[in-house]
Amino acid sequence: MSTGNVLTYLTESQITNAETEIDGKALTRPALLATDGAVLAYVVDVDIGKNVILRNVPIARNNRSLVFTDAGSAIRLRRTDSGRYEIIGLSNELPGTYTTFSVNLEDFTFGAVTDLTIVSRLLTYAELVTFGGYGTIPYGAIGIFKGGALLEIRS
Amino acid sequence: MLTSWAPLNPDAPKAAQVIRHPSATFAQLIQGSSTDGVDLSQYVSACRHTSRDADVTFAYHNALAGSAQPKPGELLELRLNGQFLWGGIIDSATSYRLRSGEHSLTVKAYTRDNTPTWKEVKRVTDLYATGTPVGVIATDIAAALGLGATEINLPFFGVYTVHSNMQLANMAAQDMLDTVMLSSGYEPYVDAYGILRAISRDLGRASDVIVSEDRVVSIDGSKARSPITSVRVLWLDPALTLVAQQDQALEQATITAGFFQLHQKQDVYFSEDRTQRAQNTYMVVKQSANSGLLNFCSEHYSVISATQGRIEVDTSIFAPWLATEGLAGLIASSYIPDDVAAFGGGVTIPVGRLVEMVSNVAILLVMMSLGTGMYEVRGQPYDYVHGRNTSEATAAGVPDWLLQNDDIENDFVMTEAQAQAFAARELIYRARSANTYKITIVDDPRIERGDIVELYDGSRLYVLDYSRDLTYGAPANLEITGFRA
Repeated sequence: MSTGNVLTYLTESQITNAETEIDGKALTRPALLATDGAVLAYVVDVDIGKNVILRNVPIARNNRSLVFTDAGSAIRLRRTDSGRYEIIGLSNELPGTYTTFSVNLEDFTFGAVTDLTIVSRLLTYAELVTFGGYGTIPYGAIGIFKGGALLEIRS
Repeated sequence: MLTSWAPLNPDAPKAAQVIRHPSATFAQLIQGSSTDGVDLSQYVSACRHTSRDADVTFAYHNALAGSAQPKPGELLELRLNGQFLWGGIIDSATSYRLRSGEHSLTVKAYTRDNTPTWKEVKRVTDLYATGTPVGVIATDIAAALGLGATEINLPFFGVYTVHSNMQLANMAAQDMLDTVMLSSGYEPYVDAYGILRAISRDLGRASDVIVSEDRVVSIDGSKARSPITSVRVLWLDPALTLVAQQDQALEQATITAGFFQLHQKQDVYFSEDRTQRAQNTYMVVKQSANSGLLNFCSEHYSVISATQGRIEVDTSIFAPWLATEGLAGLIASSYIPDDVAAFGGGVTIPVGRLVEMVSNVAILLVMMSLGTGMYEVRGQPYDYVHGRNTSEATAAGVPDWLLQNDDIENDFVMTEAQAQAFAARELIYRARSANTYKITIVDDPRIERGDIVELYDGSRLYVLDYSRDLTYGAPANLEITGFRA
């Protein structure tokens, strides 16, 4: 890897609105994604309330407390001019529930409500058994759920 | 709907009056108690008004020159057949012309909610506690705009503030009123009389006015923009969510223990500013005070509060006891006469020395009962944060290439059910309002913005605006702009 800014490769997310700072919810614990031997880049996956997970968002440097961010924490993201996000601090607000339903514009009837809330939390002992067989998934593993359905497991 | 009016007859005479009020207030106009009215009707050459504004053109020789000329800031009253029809504030003289001794002057008047005072001046509201009806906030905003009790006629919205720290700041009054009322399905509206009211955005309600076929003059339809197909309501969840960080070192402490003090306590805080809360805290002994020769003390940690813990080091009672006994032994040994214990070849040891040495050993043991412990308190810092929930209503059966979304951020939402109703109502309103219609009917002064007008074939029109020509000789028609409800 070059000694250039490794962050260049981390997030290619395209966000259409012009907000420079938004609130998000950390879905994973910070993970060391890449290092060039001199600097460390910790990244987390983030829910920004758009129903799609923002992957590998780097944590700003010199922000030690953020390295201890746990899954589910409220975090503040700043968008650079080039359209990339980085996590700059903790926040007082995070994306909450996300529900959606259809509306018939002719007769004004509603369809069933679908829950698309993204939740990240520790897996219970029972879930460790259910999802991987006891002993396969380590204690402390994090499950990311969408509308109650398991999306992925992070350890 | 203005119930004080009845539909006009197509052939009925239409006598319009334009009255200037140099000093009256809206309250006086509403109550009919103004005495400063100057009737300018005889100079009117053209007059047209909508729900928002009025344009009046005067033609005169010298009658409206100087102080007799309508001035910005004065109130303008329009009357129809002797009845108060519309009131507004003169904003400007938009054109003036002098030709062959005749002056022509056009003035523009707006309803009070279409002035910079409402739309541009930034304001800050009071702080409202949890459970405040949003109608109270709307009334306070209106009062700050100078409206009295007779100029405010708001319904009960059925929505209360759910957050403990609710304050609208750095917003124009119109934006504040929009925000406050929108979650309950209303929007602010100043009616033709200058009274602040709320009009419903619910398209499922009953029609306000029914127009028979013989009163319809023409109908024109047009598409104003692409319809909204999805509305997301982003609202702040009243319930706080606990978010915790990973287990980490919160505080370190160094305590020296010994015979000199039986109990030592040191309070530790989970942050320098003593405000950070933490859960599952515990103490790690990085270096025990007992790591010397003797195990003389015990080390404990306890939680005092969410932001504070306490490290306690208890020294065993034997250390100070030994110190006391040792010193007493030293003193006592000095009183023992030099009885000699002889051992074999003339070696003698004074009896008192033995006692003295035993006491010295005791004191040395006490001095060994000293140690410095290094402790680290760890735990999971946590805070309570608000979740911003999203409730999305999507039009059924819309292909992907027609998707168009609107986001509404509003903190006057109490529950998920209200958010869903809010999103559905706004989706229906915004989707339907993409196609506008212009309908000309025989004048019906009952109709105002926000009304649902039902036509003879059962189709319904939500009124966005209307326009009425009051020029002498103009037909008694009303042009309505709206969309299919």
